[in-house]
Amino acid sequence: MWDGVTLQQLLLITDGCSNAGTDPVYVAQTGRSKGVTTSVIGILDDGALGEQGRREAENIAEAGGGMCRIIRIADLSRTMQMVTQQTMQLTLQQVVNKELRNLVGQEANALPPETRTKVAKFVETVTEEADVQIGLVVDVSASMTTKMTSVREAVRDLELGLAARTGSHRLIVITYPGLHGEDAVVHRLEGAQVADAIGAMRAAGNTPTGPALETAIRALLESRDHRLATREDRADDGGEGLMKHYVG
Amino acid sequence: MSVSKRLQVLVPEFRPGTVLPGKWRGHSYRIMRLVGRGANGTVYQVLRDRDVVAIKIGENAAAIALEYERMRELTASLGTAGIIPELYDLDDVEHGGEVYPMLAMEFIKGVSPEEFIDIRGREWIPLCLTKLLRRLETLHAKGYAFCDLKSANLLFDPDTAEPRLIDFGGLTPIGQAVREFTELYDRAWWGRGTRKADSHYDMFACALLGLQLLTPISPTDLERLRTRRPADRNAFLSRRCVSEIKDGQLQTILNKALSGQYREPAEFRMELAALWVNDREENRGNMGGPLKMTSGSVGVRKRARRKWDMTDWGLLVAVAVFVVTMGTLLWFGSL
Ligand SMILES: Nc1ncnc2c1ncn2[C@@H]1O[C@H](COP(=O)(O)OP(=O)(O)OP(=O)(O)O)[C@@H](O)[C@H]1O
Repeated sequence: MWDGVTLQQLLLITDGCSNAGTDPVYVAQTGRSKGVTTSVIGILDDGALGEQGRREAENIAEAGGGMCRIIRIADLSRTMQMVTQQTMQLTLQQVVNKELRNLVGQEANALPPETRTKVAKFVETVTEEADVQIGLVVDVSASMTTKMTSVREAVRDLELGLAARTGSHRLIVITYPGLHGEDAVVHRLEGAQVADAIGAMRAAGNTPTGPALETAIRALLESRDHRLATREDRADDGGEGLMKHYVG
Repeated sequence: MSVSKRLQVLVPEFRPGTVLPGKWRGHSYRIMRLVGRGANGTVYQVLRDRDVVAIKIGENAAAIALEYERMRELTASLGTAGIIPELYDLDDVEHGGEVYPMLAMEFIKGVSPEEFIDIRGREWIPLCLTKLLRRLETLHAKGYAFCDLKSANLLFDPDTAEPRLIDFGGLTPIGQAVREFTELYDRAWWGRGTRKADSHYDMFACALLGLQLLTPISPTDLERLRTRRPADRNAFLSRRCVSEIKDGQLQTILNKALSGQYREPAEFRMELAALWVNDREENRGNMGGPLKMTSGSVGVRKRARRKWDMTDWGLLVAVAVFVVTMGTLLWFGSL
């Protein structure tokens, strides 16, 4: 049952609170029932997030079966990497827990620690080997403007991390709101270029987080249907020929 | 009701004196003090029954269990040879009706690499790196890379210069993706290779640590680089290696390691060791034979340019008062 596992997750990156369209918490919940986990990174700098935004972020993550981290922009790269990784583990752990409940009537955390380590190791191996599809949903409303170069480099960095895994990966970037009044834009870039999708910014506008998540879920489910090989896309970025010393 | 809540319990901060009973192993842990916080948990110095140990309490039971398991497996194949903190228990502790996952390990005393170099002097950098590399090579031989090598995950014994690695949460089987890293020490971030765990990944981090000890990259530069492309960071590092020179020989070696010119860490280590020996030859007489110290003997050479502090001035005043008093007494006596 673990051969060729594909994990699908959304990672929402925002510094504010939604104010248009469907309730994002509801969208995250529906996504979850379709097998898409949603995690959230809330960015603190410039204080647009507020108590309300923080609560919304936590609720989206909880409904989406993922995790929530509220951080400063300087920690974005690290956090994105960690959240992606741990969300995969969390999803797998939930599947394992369900199995365990059926088999022994207990979850992993209720097992004695020695047994728990076996489960944890197993989850770790599958995390490394599973195929993963990630939709990065990036808030590009006005307050994010100053943070976009950081986000762009964090996305590039995430791609580097994913490329090092054994399993295949596919990273899709969805920015919202769109430049021409649409709720969200799905960028069709691949591999190392995916980060360069981030740059089209809008000076002002709503924050339609719910509709953006809907768009992202649709994009992920579509790509589940016709899966693309991504291993070939692993181009290096500016290694300037040093790469050869490290690979192999 | 959500599963995510159950898997990720928020851990409160425990005050000194708090007693945390373990659920499975029959030990209790009395909090002495908070030692540090990291991404995976909070570390406390505690009393486990009568012994002083360190415990790491985390939100994520699986992460703690995995860190324990990795350390346990390594200990089984390496012994406790001072590379891995000694492991005691993997347990859950109970407090206020909640259960928190934790692991108990040896409490490691020591000073940070920066403090160590501050006490001993820059000429000790090659020796520190040499000793560190030797430990990393042992891990590599067992099929693991340490990966999250950085100043915060290292403590040095101030007397013997022995490095101790802490935080094995980043330990990764060679060939797999690096799970935990810090940008500053990450070769992929610098545009100088992949983020796959291998011996060269550790070697890069080790060389960067050397560079940080010699001429630290300023926080403002780091902040600026965060928004740049890996190729720009790569160029920055190349420029820096030639522009800010404090110790030409050492820097040349570090530079070679940073640009992947050594076939293996041992080669890097050997060149560092040669530097150390040469340094000693040149300074024979006034360096007090640092090689002796490598074999573990205590030979602290306080830095010559130590500044005068309050104690020193206090002593001086005390001596002056004493001399004046004695003088006065003698004078009275002679009357
Ligand atoms: N065995 C130990 N003995 C003494 N101090 C320790 C020990 N383990 C950890 N510490 C201290 O606690 C701090 C945090 O621990 P650690 O780095 O293990 O946490 P982490 O969550 O894995 O952190 P990171 O964010 O660095 O990955 C360390 O910087 C170190 O100073």
